[in-house]
Amino acid sequence: MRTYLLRRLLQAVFVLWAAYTVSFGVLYMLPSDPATIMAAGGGDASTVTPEQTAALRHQYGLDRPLAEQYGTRLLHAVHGDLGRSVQSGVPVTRMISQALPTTLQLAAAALLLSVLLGGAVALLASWTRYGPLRQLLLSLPSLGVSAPTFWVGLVLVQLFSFRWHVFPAFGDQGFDALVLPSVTLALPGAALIAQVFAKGLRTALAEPYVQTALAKGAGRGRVLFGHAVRNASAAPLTLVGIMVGNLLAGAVVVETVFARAGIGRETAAAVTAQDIPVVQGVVVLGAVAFVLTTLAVDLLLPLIDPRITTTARRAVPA
Amino acid sequence: MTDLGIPDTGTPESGADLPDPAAADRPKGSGRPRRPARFRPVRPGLLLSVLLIAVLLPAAFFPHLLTSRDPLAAVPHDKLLPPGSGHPFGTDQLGRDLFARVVHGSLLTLQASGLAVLVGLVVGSLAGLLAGYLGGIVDDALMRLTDVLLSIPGLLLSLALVTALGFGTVKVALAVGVTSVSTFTRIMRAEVLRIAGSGYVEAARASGTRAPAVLLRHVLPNAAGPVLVYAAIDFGAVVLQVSSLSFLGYGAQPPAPEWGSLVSDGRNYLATAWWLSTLPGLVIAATVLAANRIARALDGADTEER
Repeated sequence: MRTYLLRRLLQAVFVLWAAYTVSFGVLYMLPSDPATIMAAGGGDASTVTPEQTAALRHQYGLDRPLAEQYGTRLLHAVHGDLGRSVQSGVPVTRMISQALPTTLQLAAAALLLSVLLGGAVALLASWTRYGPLRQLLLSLPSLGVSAPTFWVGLVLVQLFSFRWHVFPAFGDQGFDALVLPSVTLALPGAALIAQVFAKGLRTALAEPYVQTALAKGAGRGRVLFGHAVRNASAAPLTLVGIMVGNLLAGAVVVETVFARAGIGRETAAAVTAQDIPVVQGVVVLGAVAFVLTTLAVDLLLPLIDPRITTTARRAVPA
Repeated sequence: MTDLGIPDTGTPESGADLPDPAAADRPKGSGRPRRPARFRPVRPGLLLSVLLIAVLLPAAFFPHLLTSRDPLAAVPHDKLLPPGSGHPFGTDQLGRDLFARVVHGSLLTLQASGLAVLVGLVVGSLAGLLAGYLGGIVDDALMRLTDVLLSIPGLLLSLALVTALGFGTVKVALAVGVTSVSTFTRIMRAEVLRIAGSGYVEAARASGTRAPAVLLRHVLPNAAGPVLVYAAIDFGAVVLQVSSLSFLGYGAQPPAPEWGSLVSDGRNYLATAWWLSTLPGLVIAATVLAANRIARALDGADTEER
């Protein structure tokens, strides 16, 4: 168990380092000149004087060799310093930590909703014996995957805020303001979970142990909830790791639609202003979220399915 | 397998809970259903999807076929008209015909999406081909790289690329295309590994064919199927990503219509002119739905799903 943990931790550190390196490569090494971009601030590059660019280049150390830049930046990043925002001069880590609570709230609500919604659709589709209802439920996920998040958000605002006046359209104060954004953010994930979970349930219900249980007189509910659910939940659980990263990315769109102050809106603003350090900070944050959740999921999986062992060599089935 | 000798052309519901028989006996990964008869039963959803795409694709190249109006011509007198005769989608705050703008927008959006898929397909296939065929260090390095690319959420990676490249339709297409490279690489690599061990590749090599010729003449044609199917599957997701970036304002600059920016333009009129955001968004959703539906049919996973 200890070696397994150690190995997984090393892997996680490697992925983080690689993600940092990739984002460095994308943002600092592509043919465009970061200093010109920063000086222009998303505006017209022709208004920038060469002196301004040179000053910026010196200030951010962009005039030094690339390898040296990479070394110092990585060293700082390891010490928790991701540089300063070009626009505001605020340290990126402080910007992120200030905006994080709002986004975490939104992402947590959305994650909970997608698990509940996706799980409910899959369970109901597996439970019902009424064909049309089953077809309807099974076709919902493909709808959820196809609708653009930003559009769903706007349609919800139109209906629930402007027509029926149930929830506020914008803002980030209180529970009411959390409902529409989290529903919007939850839908793609819910669709994904519903698809995978329904498929898992179908496979599980075709297994011989289900027949045995039915033959021994267990009810359909007992078979579904007592036997199939646990066996079918490993696959959706591994999806959660991918979903958390996507929730952070989706927050960029959803927070823009609902004008919520959070990481997502900071990111959108940073991209518009081509604020390179902030964008890099968010990309690294996305990788951190992915790495941490996959790590947690990998540790949880053996609890659900004991056949998945944590040792390197898999136990020989008896 | 007990097939009862009845060709599977009946109602699709008949085999609701059975695994797809064709999936089991067709050669693994050939990508195409072995029996074309599978496409014969009328499936209204699939038919509608094909129809929609058949209308949209020409519109993306020849928008004048669908509308004679100019997407940029403002008629202030006709501003904010609801959908009705003359203006099927209504007009915007400047009196421009929204239907014309959506039709002309498909030019930018669908071409950008096509370009993005092409980038992923070409770069990913090449990388996968190299990784699978060369093996060793090249394989290890490329696979670790795809692992890392997959650990960064796609939209965030696109945003980083947009930050570095700048704004515009083509740059957005490139930024989105890069995010699908790793999946293409993995699929291609798996296919190449499968094929590289087969007899005819061994025979070609034994008879002295050089590596590039083996790759191009023998490996690539046989590995292409699943990769092309994935390109179809990826298209819907790419349309969504391109539209998202365009919605955030990183695509074409203002007067030019793009689907995502059309939805974004309507945000200020949500309470008074519902059609401005709703209808372009509906077109995006319908397009993605249709593309996904067709891709699933191509994948042959359709009958397995139901």
